[in-house]
Amino acid sequence: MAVDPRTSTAIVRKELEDCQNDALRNHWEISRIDEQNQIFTVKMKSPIDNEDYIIEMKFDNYKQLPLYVEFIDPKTGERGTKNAYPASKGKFGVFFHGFPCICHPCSRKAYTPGPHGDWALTGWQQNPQIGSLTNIRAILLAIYSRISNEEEYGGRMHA
Amino acid sequence: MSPDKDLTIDIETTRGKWEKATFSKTTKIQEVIQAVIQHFGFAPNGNYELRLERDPDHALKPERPLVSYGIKDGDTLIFTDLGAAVWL
Repeated sequence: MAVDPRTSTAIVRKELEDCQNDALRNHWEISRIDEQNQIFTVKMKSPIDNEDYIIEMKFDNYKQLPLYVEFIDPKTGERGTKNAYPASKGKFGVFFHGFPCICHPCSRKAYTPGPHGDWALTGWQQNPQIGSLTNIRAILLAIYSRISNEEEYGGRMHA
Repeated sequence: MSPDKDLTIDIETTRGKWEKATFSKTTKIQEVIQAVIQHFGFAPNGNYELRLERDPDHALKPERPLVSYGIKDGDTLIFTDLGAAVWL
Protein backbone atom coordinates (compact mmCIF):
# COMPACT_ATOMS: atom_id res chain seq x y z
CA MET A 1 0.00 0.00 0.00
CA ALA A 2 1.45 3.34 -1.05
CA VAL A 3 1.95 6.07 1.52
CA ASP A 4 0.42 9.46 0.71
CA PRO A 5 3.37 11.67 -0.32
CA ARG A 6 2.08 14.41 1.97
CA THR A 7 2.35 12.03 4.90
CA SER A 8 5.91 11.05 4.06
CA THR A 9 6.85 14.69 3.56
CA ALA A 10 5.39 15.68 6.93
CA ILE A 11 7.34 12.92 8.67
CA VAL A 12 10.56 13.93 6.93
CA ARG A 13 10.03 17.58 7.78
CA LYS A 14 9.64 16.72 11.46
CA GLU A 15 12.64 14.39 11.47
CA LEU A 16 14.81 17.03 9.79
CA GLU A 17 13.79 19.53 12.45
CA ASP A 18 15.17 17.08 14.97
CA CYS A 19 18.54 17.25 13.15
CA GLN A 20 19.05 20.99 13.40
CA ASN A 21 21.39 20.98 16.41
CA ASP A 22 23.43 18.15 14.91
CA ALA A 23 23.63 19.99 11.59
CA LEU A 24 24.97 23.11 13.32
CA ARG A 25 27.42 21.18 15.48
CA ASN A 26 28.74 19.04 12.64
CA HIS A 27 28.47 21.55 9.77
CA TRP A 28 25.98 19.57 7.72
CA GLU A 29 24.27 21.30 4.81
CA ILE A 30 20.71 20.06 4.53
CA SER A 31 18.90 20.94 1.31
CA ARG A 32 15.31 22.01 1.03
CA ILE A 33 12.86 19.16 0.65
CA ASP A 34 11.97 18.40 -2.96
CA GLU A 35 8.36 17.43 -2.33
CA GLN A 36 7.61 16.53 -5.94
CA ASN A 37 10.44 14.02 -6.23
CA GLN A 38 10.46 13.23 -2.50
CA ILE A 39 14.17 13.79 -2.12
CA PHE A 40 16.49 15.84 0.02
CA THR A 41 20.27 15.85 0.30
CA VAL A 42 22.76 16.35 3.10
CA LYS A 43 26.34 17.43 2.53
CA MET A 44 28.89 16.61 5.17
CA LYS A 45 32.66 16.72 5.36
CA SER A 46 35.01 14.22 6.93
CA PRO A 47 37.14 16.14 9.44
CA ILE A 48 39.86 13.53 8.92
CA ASP A 49 40.67 14.23 5.26
CA ASN A 50 38.23 17.05 4.38
CA GLU A 51 36.48 14.90 1.76
CA ASP A 52 32.94 16.03 1.02
CA TYR A 53 30.10 13.52 0.91
CA ILE A 54 26.66 14.19 -0.50
CA ILE A 55 23.92 11.91 0.75
CA GLU A 56 20.68 11.79 -1.16
CA MET A 57 17.65 10.45 0.66
CA LYS A 58 14.57 9.47 -1.30
CA PHE A 59 11.62 9.17 0.99
CA ASP A 60 8.78 7.86 -1.14
CA ASN A 61 6.57 5.59 0.97
CA TYR A 62 8.50 6.50 4.13
CA LYS A 63 8.08 5.09 6.75
CA GLN A 64 6.36 2.06 5.36
CA LEU A 65 9.58 1.57 3.41
CA PRO A 66 13.05 2.62 4.53
CA LEU A 67 14.77 5.58 2.91
CA TYR A 68 16.59 4.98 -0.37
CA VAL A 69 19.98 6.29 0.73
CA GLU A 70 22.39 7.11 -2.07
CA PHE A 71 25.68 8.98 -2.33
CA ILE A 72 26.47 11.51 -5.06
CA ASP A 73 30.02 12.14 -6.24
CA PRO A 74 30.69 15.79 -5.31
CA LYS A 75 33.06 16.25 -8.25
CA THR A 76 31.14 14.61 -11.09
CA GLY A 77 27.56 14.60 -9.81
CA GLU A 78 27.30 10.88 -10.55
CA ARG A 79 24.94 8.96 -8.30
CA GLY A 80 25.72 5.62 -6.74
CA THR A 81 29.29 5.15 -7.89
CA LYS A 82 31.97 3.82 -5.58
CA ASN A 83 33.75 7.16 -5.81
CA ALA A 84 30.73 8.77 -4.24
CA TYR A 85 30.96 6.61 -1.13
CA PRO A 86 33.18 6.58 1.92
CA ALA A 87 34.96 3.35 2.79
CA SER A 88 34.94 1.41 6.04
CA LYS A 89 37.99 -0.02 7.70
CA GLY A 90 35.64 -2.60 9.16
CA LYS A 91 36.18 -1.98 12.87
CA PHE A 92 32.42 -1.73 13.31
CA GLY A 93 31.42 -3.94 10.36
CA VAL A 94 31.12 -2.98 6.72
CA PHE A 95 28.50 -0.25 6.87
CA PHE A 96 29.68 1.24 3.57
CA HIS A 97 29.46 -1.81 1.32
CA GLY A 98 31.19 -2.09 -2.07
CA PHE A 99 27.88 -2.80 -3.84
CA PRO A 100 27.95 0.23 -3.22
CA CYS A 101 25.36 0.93 -0.56
CA ILE A 102 24.87 1.44 3.11
CA CYS A 103 24.62 -2.15 4.26
CA HIS A 104 22.02 -1.77 6.96
CA PRO A 105 18.26 -2.33 7.23
CA CYS A 106 17.75 1.47 7.30
CA SER A 107 18.86 1.63 3.64
CA ARG A 108 16.46 0.43 0.93
CA LYS A 109 19.33 -0.03 -1.51
CA ALA A 110 20.73 -2.84 0.65
CA TYR A 111 17.68 -5.01 -0.05
CA THR A 112 17.07 -6.97 -3.29
CA PRO A 113 18.98 -6.69 -5.64
CA GLY A 114 21.55 -5.44 -3.14
CA PRO A 115 23.57 -7.56 -0.75
CA HIS A 116 20.63 -8.40 1.50
CA GLY A 117 18.01 -10.22 -0.50
CA ASP A 118 17.36 -12.09 2.73
CA TRP A 119 15.83 -9.01 4.38
CA ALA A 120 12.15 -8.11 4.11
CA LEU A 121 11.19 -4.53 3.31
CA THR A 122 7.87 -5.01 5.03
CA GLY A 123 8.39 -4.44 8.71
CA TRP A 124 11.95 -3.13 8.18
CA GLN A 125 11.86 -1.38 11.55
CA GLN A 126 11.51 -4.78 13.21
CA ASN A 127 14.61 -6.21 11.53
CA PRO A 128 16.71 -7.59 14.42
CA GLN A 129 19.71 -5.65 13.11
CA ILE A 130 18.04 -2.26 12.85
CA GLY A 131 19.20 -1.01 16.25
CA SER A 132 18.05 2.59 16.66
CA LEU A 133 18.55 3.64 13.02
CA THR A 134 14.83 4.11 12.39
CA ASN A 135 14.86 7.86 11.80
CA ILE A 136 16.79 10.40 9.76
CA ARG A 137 18.71 11.87 12.69
CA ALA A 138 20.03 8.50 13.81
CA ILE A 139 21.04 7.57 10.25
CA LEU A 140 22.87 10.86 9.63
CA LEU A 141 24.64 10.65 12.97
CA ALA A 142 25.77 7.10 12.18
CA ILE A 143 27.13 8.20 8.79
CA TYR A 144 28.89 11.24 10.24
CA SER A 145 30.37 9.29 13.12
CA ARG A 146 31.78 6.74 10.72
CA ILE A 147 33.41 9.31 8.44
CA SER A 148 34.90 11.15 11.41
CA ASN A 149 36.20 8.18 13.40
CA GLU A 150 39.86 7.50 12.64
CA GLU A 151 39.57 3.83 13.57
CA GLU A 152 36.65 3.27 11.20
CA TYR A 153 36.94 5.70 8.28
CA GLY A 154 38.92 4.39 5.33
CA GLY A 155 38.84 7.47 3.11
CA ARG A 156 36.90 7.64 -0.12
CA MET A 157 35.84 4.34 -1.63
CA HIS A 158 37.45 3.99 -5.06
CA ALA A 159 36.31 1.93 -8.00
CA MET B 1 27.94 11.62 45.43
CA SER B 2 31.40 13.08 46.06
CA PRO B 3 32.21 16.35 44.25
CA ASP B 4 35.90 15.44 44.29
CA LYS B 5 35.45 12.01 42.80
CA ASP B 6 32.30 12.32 40.71
CA LEU B 7 31.14 14.12 37.58
CA THR B 8 27.61 15.19 36.77
CA ILE B 9 27.04 15.40 33.03
CA ASP B 10 24.29 15.32 30.44
CA ILE B 11 24.21 12.63 27.78
CA GLU B 12 22.27 13.28 24.58
CA THR B 13 20.95 10.41 22.48
CA THR B 14 18.41 9.97 19.72
CA ARG B 15 16.12 8.54 22.40
CA GLY B 16 16.32 11.57 24.62
CA LYS B 17 18.64 13.32 27.04
CA TRP B 18 19.93 11.81 30.26
CA GLU B 19 20.23 14.89 32.43
CA LYS B 20 22.51 15.13 35.45
CA ALA B 21 23.93 11.63 35.10
CA THR B 22 26.59 11.05 37.76
CA PHE B 23 29.69 8.94 37.26
CA SER B 24 32.97 8.52 39.04
CA LYS B 25 35.68 10.53 37.28
CA THR B 26 37.59 7.30 36.74
CA THR B 27 34.69 5.60 34.95
CA LYS B 28 35.83 4.35 31.58
CA ILE B 29 34.06 5.55 28.44
CA GLN B 30 33.00 1.97 27.67
CA GLU B 31 31.31 1.79 31.07
CA VAL B 32 29.45 5.03 30.38
CA ILE B 33 28.33 3.60 27.03
CA GLN B 34 27.03 0.50 28.79
CA ALA B 35 25.15 2.67 31.28
CA VAL B 36 23.53 4.62 28.43
CA ILE B 37 22.56 1.39 26.65
CA GLN B 38 20.81 0.23 29.82
CA HIS B 39 19.27 3.60 30.62
CA PHE B 40 17.61 4.00 27.20
CA GLY B 41 17.23 0.36 26.17
CA PHE B 42 19.56 0.40 23.16
CA ALA B 43 20.39 -3.01 21.70
CA PRO B 44 23.18 -4.58 23.74
CA ASN B 45 25.00 -5.96 20.68
CA GLY B 46 25.30 -2.68 18.76
CA ASN B 47 28.24 -0.39 18.02
CA TYR B 48 28.21 2.87 19.94
CA GLU B 49 30.42 5.83 20.64
CA LEU B 50 30.53 8.97 22.76
CA ARG B 51 31.77 12.43 21.84
CA LEU B 52 32.08 15.65 23.75
CA GLU B 53 29.60 18.18 22.45
CA ARG B 54 32.33 20.85 22.52
CA ASP B 55 34.67 18.60 20.48
CA PRO B 56 32.29 16.82 18.10
CA ASP B 57 34.90 15.64 15.59
CA HIS B 58 36.60 13.19 17.93
CA ALA B 59 35.19 9.98 19.34
CA LEU B 60 36.18 9.21 22.91
CA LYS B 61 38.25 6.04 23.21
CA PRO B 62 36.39 3.31 25.11
CA GLU B 63 39.33 2.33 27.30
CA ARG B 64 40.04 5.80 28.65
CA PRO B 65 38.47 7.25 31.83
CA LEU B 66 36.25 10.33 31.77
CA VAL B 67 38.81 12.36 33.72
CA SER B 68 41.47 11.85 31.05
CA TYR B 69 39.45 14.00 28.62
CA GLY B 70 39.12 16.91 31.01
CA ILE B 71 35.37 16.42 31.17
CA LYS B 72 33.80 18.81 33.66
CA ASP B 73 30.53 19.02 35.56
CA GLY B 74 27.82 20.22 33.21
CA ASP B 75 29.46 18.95 30.03
CA THR B 76 27.31 17.21 27.45
CA LEU B 77 28.28 13.96 25.75
CA ILE B 78 26.72 12.87 22.46
CA PHE B 79 25.91 9.17 22.26
CA THR B 80 25.68 7.70 18.75
CA ASP B 81 24.56 4.33 17.44
CA LEU B 82 26.98 3.52 14.61
CA GLY B 83 24.74 0.81 13.22
CA ALA B 84 25.05 -2.89 13.80
CA ALA B 85 27.68 -4.86 11.95
CA VAL B 86 25.53 -6.74 9.44
CA TRP B 87 28.29 -7.65 6.97
CA LEU B 88 31.57 -8.56 8.64
